[in-house]
Amino acid sequence: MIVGVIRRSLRKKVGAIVLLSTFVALVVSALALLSYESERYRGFMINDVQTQAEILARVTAPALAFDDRDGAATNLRLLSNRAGINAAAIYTAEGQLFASFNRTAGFVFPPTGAPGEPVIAGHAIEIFQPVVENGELLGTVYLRESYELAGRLVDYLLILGTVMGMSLIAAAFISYWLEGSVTAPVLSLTAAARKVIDERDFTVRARRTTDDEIGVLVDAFNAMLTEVGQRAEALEASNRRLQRETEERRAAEAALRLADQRKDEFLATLAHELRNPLAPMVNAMTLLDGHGSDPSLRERAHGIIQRQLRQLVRLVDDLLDVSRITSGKLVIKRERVELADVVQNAVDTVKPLLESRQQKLAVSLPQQPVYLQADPVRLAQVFSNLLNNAAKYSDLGSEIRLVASVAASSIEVRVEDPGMGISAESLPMIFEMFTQGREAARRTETGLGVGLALARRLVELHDGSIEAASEGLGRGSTFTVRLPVMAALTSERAAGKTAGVPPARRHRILLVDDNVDFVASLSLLLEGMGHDVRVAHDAAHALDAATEFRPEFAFLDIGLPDRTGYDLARDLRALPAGERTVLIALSGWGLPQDRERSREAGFALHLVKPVDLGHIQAALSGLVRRA
Amino acid sequence: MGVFLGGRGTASRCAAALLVALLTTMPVRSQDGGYSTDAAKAAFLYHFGTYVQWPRSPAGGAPIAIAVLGAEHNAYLETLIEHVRDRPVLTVSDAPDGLERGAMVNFQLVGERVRFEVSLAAAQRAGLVLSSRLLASALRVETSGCRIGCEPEAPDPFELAAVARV
Repeated sequence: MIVGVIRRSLRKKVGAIVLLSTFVALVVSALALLSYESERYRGFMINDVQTQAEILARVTAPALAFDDRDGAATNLRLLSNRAGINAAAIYTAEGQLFASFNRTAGFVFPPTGAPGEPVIAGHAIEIFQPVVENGELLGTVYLRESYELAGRLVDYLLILGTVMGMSLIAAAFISYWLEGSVTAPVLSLTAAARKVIDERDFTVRARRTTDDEIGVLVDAFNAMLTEVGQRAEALEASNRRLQRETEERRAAEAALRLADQRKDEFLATLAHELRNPLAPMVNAMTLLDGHGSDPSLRERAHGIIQRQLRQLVRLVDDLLDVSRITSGKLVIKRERVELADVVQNAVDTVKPLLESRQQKLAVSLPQQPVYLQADPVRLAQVFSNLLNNAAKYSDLGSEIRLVASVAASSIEVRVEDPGMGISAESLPMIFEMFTQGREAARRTETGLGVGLALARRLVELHDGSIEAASEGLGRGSTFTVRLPVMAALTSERAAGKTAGVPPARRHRILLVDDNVDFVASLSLLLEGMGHDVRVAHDAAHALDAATEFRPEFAFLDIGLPDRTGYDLARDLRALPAGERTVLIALSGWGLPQDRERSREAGFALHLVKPVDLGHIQAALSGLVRRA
Repeated sequence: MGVFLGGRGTASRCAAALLVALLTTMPVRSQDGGYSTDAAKAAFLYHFGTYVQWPRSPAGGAPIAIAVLGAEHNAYLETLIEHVRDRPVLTVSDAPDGLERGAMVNFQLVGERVRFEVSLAAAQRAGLVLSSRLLASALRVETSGCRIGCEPEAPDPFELAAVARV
């Protein structure tokens, strides 16, 4: 157990080392001292007894020589003063005891022995020393001295034991001191290491208190901590980055999924929307087939077909715009336009819808004309989209307002409706493609959900901005368009004039076709609708007529006798009178490449013969804007 | 009666005569065992030479000669001693008043045992130095000869020791 404690504690280890080494050193030195001392004692005793014997022999020589027993006895008695000498004797040369001295009771003197080295026997050392004078052996001296080696050793052991005890106490103090100077730095290092492990805190540093190996260890430990800390930090930063990237990727994935979902919804809506107008149209056709002679029925059937057709055209146009927006091909052709004209165009467009929903539109324009550098058709589309939405999402018979006001260098156009409004959650996304408010989706006339996205894109192309505001569901909504104004205001204009829905506009129409019957019938039809119509049967006459007539619309046959309709279209465009003419191709061919050629030649619309009057009306009403 | 002990050839006969004289005055003991005073005296004579520091001999390494004279010569003791007094000769007498008559060493009988007494003054006169070890075994040591300062009452340690032993 003690060994276990020592193994776990450096402090106790140092103490044990100090004490053990002290103990071993003391034992070894004690043994060395004892062995040296016993040897020295033996040597000393031998030397002592020899010297004594020699002195005694020399002193005794005359006594032996002159047979002086008293003298010999006197000499021996002198020896008795020495404590160590227990017995002494002098023998004559013949071996007879001449004189003797004895301190030990019961001791019997040995017969004279052979002279020689001292002999140690038990607790005594004895010697026979010859007495020689002038080469003559006079006798022998015998000495017996006590030899107390064991007693001396016991004394030494007692001394050494005392010394050892005191040394061990001193060693204990030394080890206590060593704990301060040696183990304390190690213990502080250990404490630091434990703190790092427990708290994962790499800013902890061990304090360096010594310049020895432990100091070097402390430095190495601190350097290692710095390194580990930096690595941990780098790892953490990398983890954070990874986490952020993962989140971003997840968000992107969610956005993609949402876009995909919207596209799916859009496709479903599209199918639904495309199909919706078909049923009334089929019904109207059936009516016409059965009761073609009844004028009122014909009128109603025409109205139905016209409205539904208008809706279809709008849908298809929206689709085209969607593809343009997504492919980035949406472009505008800027020109100088007056805001009032653009607004009027938009109003004309939504008029049928307003009428059908018995809604009123209040238009308020600035007194002075406001000029913009804009694409009139596209800008009108923006406002018509906004008005269309306002009509669509407002109750029957409600009033919609369009208010334009000039501020500094920009014009602000607000479209306000008292309709169903927009929830706060939907508001930020209202301009996203394919987005409709959830509530709007329940309505029958929903549209494709591209109107606002298209409006925003178009406004942005005009360097303007658009925003939506609503105080909540059921509380109406306001869409505000801001556009840069081009020039100063001129000419007076009645402010706050409320315009009713104007009558259907009369258009100047040029018809060019070598099929005289077709042209004549169409001409009659269009004139019957109130339009001003000119007819030409070839390109040359067409150009002449256009120069004089300045047609707003030109229906051109592609297969003319003198040149193709494409060439004629380009020539018409080149005329000053034909700059703004809306060109519509009439062709027996309806393949995609034919339509493409028409579009390239500048046609706004490509109609395939036999042409339905509804198409022509739709084209005239401005529903068809581009090929 | 006296004994000459000397290293000079010229003195040899004289010494021998003294020893003979001495021997004749000794009470003759039976030859069969026991203590023989004559043998003791002879041994003593032999040993005396060991404890005497002889003056340096010019010739060097000369042997010590022992001359013994018979007891009949005791009457001429002073004359004999006077004759060799300035020579390195140790005179040994065997007479009750040997020292008073000028001998350096004189035998005495104490009980049955042969002892001897010493006159340091006489030896000094002859230029001989007697070993203190010899004096330690002497029965009596006479130091009457005044050498330096002459304090006759000064106790002599050797004499005291010798007296104490008697």
